[in-house]
Amino acid sequence: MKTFQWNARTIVIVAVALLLTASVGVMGIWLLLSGQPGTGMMESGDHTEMMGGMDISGDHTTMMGAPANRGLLGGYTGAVGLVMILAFVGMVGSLLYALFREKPGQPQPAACWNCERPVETDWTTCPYCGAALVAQATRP
Amino acid sequence: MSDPPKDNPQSIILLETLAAGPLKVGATPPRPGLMGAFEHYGKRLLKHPFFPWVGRWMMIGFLIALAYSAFFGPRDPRLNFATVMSWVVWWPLLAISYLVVGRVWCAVCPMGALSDIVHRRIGLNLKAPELFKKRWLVAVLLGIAILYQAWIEEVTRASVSPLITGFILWSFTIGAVVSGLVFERWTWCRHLCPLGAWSGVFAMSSVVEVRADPNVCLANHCKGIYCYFGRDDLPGCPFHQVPKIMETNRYCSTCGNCLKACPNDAISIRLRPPSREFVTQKKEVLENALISVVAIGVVIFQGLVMTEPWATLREYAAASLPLLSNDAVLYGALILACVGLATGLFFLASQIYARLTHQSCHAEMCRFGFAFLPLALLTHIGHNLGHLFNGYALVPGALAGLVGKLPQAAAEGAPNLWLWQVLEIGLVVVGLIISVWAIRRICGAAKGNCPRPLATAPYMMLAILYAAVFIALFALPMVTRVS
Ligand code: SF4
Ligand code: SF4
Ligand SMILES: [Zn+2]
Repeated sequence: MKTFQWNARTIVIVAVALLLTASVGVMGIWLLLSGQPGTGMMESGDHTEMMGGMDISGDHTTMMGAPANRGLLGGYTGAVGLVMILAFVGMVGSLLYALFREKPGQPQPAACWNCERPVETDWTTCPYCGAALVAQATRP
Repeated sequence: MSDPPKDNPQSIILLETLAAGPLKVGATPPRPGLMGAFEHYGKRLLKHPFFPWVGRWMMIGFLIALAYSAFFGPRDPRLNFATVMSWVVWWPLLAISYLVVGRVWCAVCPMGALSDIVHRRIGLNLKAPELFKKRWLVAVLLGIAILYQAWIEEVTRASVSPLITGFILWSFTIGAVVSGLVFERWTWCRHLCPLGAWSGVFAMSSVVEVRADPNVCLANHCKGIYCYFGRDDLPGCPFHQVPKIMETNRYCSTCGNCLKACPNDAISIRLRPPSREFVTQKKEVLENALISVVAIGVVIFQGLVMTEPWATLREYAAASLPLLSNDAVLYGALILACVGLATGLFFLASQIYARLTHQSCHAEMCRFGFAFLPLALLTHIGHNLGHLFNGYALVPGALAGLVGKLPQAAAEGAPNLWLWQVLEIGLVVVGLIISVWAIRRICGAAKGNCPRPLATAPYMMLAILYAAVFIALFALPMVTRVS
């Protein structure tokens, strides 16, 4: 594992990653703000129209028979929006955590108790020496 | 701790002997007949340089078509390529694939493929945060993933909304690509993808497994663990697995990397009984064992909300408690109730079993939890196959819609309630038989703990009860998915 260093390349890649992640957050906010119960389905029964713009305000009677306007925060899109914003926060959080907290490039934190070679935390047996790592693997 | 005895050749041989596990002489001979043929050609396929890339590029094309259709296609879900192919065709086929080929979807998944492409070309290759591997976080993420994929589908009505289907695809794709840009191997698929978490659980019931023959590793004095690290330009296991010590399919995507990287031809794809790994796992982790019972609860939820009487129940719930008129709350409460009930009954059965056998309830829950997975999987397959049979007629219209030749109206599916129900109930019965068999095998694997097969009666009764609930649900009239 090479050691991470800030340089032009890494800055561009991190910026691209943040921009892409932002697109998920922006979509989430947009869906939430749309405040519409939209499911993206035509109500009129006209199946032939292609989506013009990004109108997400259509409502319809669902297969369950009830009007489709009872989702989280007033609309189904709201539920998706909220989840997308949470996903955005989680993605940015783990990115920043990985970059600044975990000091990338450091050696594997777990080692076999017997041969001391690096192992993954979820392995149950050391692939080098055959020692059982079960206790280690199941440790909380 | 004393110095690792790695320089002493005799110690090396001893340690390698230990690493190889139970001693046998020579490699396992190939099996005769059809099983042997399957394994032979399966191995050739996985070792082929075009695998899984041909599948991956096809799926990337499929993803582009889905995204185009989701955002710019017809808004009627019965005519939209994205909704019809995602919810009527792909989702049921995915369910079948868990049983037949394990987690192979992850090997050809277009989102994972895009992640791998950016990772190989420009990725930073940082270690995945240790945080992702914390036991509590893995359990929480898995719980969220399992509940989320059922809950979000119901609450957002994703299956009747091309746009929401598109947003879900977009957020998964971005998550995968960003992980590929920043982290090592397939961090998205291994640690973060909700679909991958769900697939991994069901893949444990699969009838195939990729494993190394430790005798071959030993005979060749393999010290490179190339299957894990990779060799020359051949990448190692993207899921951080070493096939000679691997005990579960949960983190194996059948991607074939290890087969290609192993210089000693030690790894093969094998057929096995669908419950085999439940008795061989060394790691007793309660949350892993409970997954199957949670899956039972989720499958009950999915079946219940697809029944016609559910519409009436839903109205009744909303009328009696206004809070429940919010679907997110109603479906959230329902899924938690289903999962809670399934888990509670399992806890009760384990208590009774522990008393009968004088064992620790916790340990028995760890051992027997997995046994319910085949029942959950077969029921999940039956339910989804029903959707496929009742919606396949929509496929030509959706394909025509993709190329701009929309029919005037969606072809009505050919709901054949009778056939659907026979199929579903038949698969529940098959699942029940495999689960009962698994319970007996788990009992038999630890004779000291399970002196009398009769003592497993609480678990047997529970499996029968779960199956009866599934059959009762499937006997009710059902609604189809995108109509
Ligand atoms: S590379 Fe092959 S021989 Fe070496 S440990 Fe892995 S499976 Fe065994
Ligand atoms: S063990 Fe790893 S490399 Fe081998 S098939 Fe499974 S996921 Fe791929
Ligand atoms: Zn070791």
